[in-house]
Amino acid sequence: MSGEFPGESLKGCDRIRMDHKTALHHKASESERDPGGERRHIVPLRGGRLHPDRDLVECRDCQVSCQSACKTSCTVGNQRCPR
Amino acid sequence: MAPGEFLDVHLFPAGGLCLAFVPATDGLFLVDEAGWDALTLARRGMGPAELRRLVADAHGREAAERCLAELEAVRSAAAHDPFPAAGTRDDGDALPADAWLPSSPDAPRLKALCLNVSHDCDLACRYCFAGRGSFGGRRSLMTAEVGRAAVDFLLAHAGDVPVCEIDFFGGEPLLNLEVVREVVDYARRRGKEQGKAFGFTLTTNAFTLGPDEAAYLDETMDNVVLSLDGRPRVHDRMRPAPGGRPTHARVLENVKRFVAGRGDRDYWVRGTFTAHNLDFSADVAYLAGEGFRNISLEPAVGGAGVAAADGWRLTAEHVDEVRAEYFRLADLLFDLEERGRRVVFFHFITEADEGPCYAKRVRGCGAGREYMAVTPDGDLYPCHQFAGAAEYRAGSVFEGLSGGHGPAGRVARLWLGAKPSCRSCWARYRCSGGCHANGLAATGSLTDPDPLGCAFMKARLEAALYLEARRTLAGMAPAAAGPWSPSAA
Repeated sequence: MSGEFPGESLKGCDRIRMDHKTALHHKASESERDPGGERRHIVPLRGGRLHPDRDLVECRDCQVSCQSACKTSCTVGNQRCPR
Repeated sequence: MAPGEFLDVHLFPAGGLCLAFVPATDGLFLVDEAGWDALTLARRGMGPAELRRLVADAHGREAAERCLAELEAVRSAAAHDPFPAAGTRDDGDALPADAWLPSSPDAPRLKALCLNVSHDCDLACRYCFAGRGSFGGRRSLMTAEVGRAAVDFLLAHAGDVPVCEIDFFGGEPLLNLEVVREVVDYARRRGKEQGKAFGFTLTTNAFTLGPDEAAYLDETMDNVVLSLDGRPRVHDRMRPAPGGRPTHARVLENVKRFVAGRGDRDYWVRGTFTAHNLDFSADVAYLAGEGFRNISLEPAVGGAGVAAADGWRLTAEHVDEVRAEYFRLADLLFDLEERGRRVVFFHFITEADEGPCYAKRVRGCGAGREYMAVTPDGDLYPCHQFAGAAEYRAGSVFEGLSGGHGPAGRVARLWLGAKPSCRSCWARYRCSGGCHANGLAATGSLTDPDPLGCAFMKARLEAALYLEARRTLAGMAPAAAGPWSPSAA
């Protein structure tokens, strides 16, 4: 393995700055500890929450995609479900 | 999903953070080096014993144990996918298409029509996909007779859909406002007779949006899309009047007047960016500075018929720069919000709890099935982007549908699983296979998405998730819900 192997995964990627020096990451690090003070490595920021209901297949209450703001590139995922 | 199976998660660096996105459920996780490595190995389907050993080698035994435990939350989020990505399966038909496509293309159950009430325009935008208003044909306006027939056609094909939608489009619909008024009145009357509500939207260049027109649109339209590209030099370069005259000052004045009277009701100030303004976050900043709350800025699209002699066209060479600019835009919006100013950027809406169901995400835009476009002559097309492409004509509002087995029927049968490269894409539940017309224009195939459009979609989705991560970490309140959607109430 190479490139994505542990210890190598973050090299060569200038957008990643995991050195705890940036203010942004300082904020992030606060949420990387559990209530006992131990460091967490995979911190949920939000849980999954898509509608799982298969019975909504016949529902047409939501907006048709191209009726929204863009009209040129399909963006279905940010439509609103009114139910 | 049992430990050791393929884990469908997208890992990406984002402005100083490392984030993990679970396509199946929109789950979002912040990870550090050990978490990144553990998720990388889990994506490959590595079993827990080997994963524990490799992560321990790199980060220590304690980190490895915690990573394994914390991985379960990601596995749990990924386990609810009704249409799992390739990697576990490459057969897009394993989930029957008819589970997601309830309507036959021969008998669509329509919800919305786009009425091209004007195949004419008073501007001469250089990037116009509609042939500067005429859609490649003669310049013409829709008559009230055609408009009324379109309403009847929609009602006849809407089944039990409680709310129908009509979008007035063009060309420039304000060039035919009298017919817009007649269609609105007629639809409301006929809808009332049949127990259906109507929602109306209108897209305008705002060049002739005077006080009277603004008052009418404010009263009748559930959503108004107002075209304005941003800074004066950016707008005037691409959106001149015929002869090259600048239009920015007049359009800005008209849009500001309309928005000032709009209150909390929906509108979008919608611009287009090109290779000439890859610093488009400055245009969003400009529009925000003018007081606009809802802003959309789209990459220019253009088929082979769109002239691009002056180098405005976006290409694969611009992807990295556009991606970086989306991240600058995310930072800009965050900074504005920190200072108490919330601006909603259309393509960054990811956080609404009220997002669409899987069925909607898998079905895609619904062109030709839930949504069709009508030309001034009454001809039907799968959507406004196909208008004027003769082989995609699907009938007319007078004659009815011409059958579902031609090219238009193929559009109506498209869904996420019909596009092989979309089945395993991490962004599949956000773009749902992308714009069929853009894909056709770029690749010549209805089932291959536009690779450039895909690149832009992924870039802005990563930036949107990054913005949401920053907002969450800063303890900001959940964002407002997504764009307008009509209600039967």
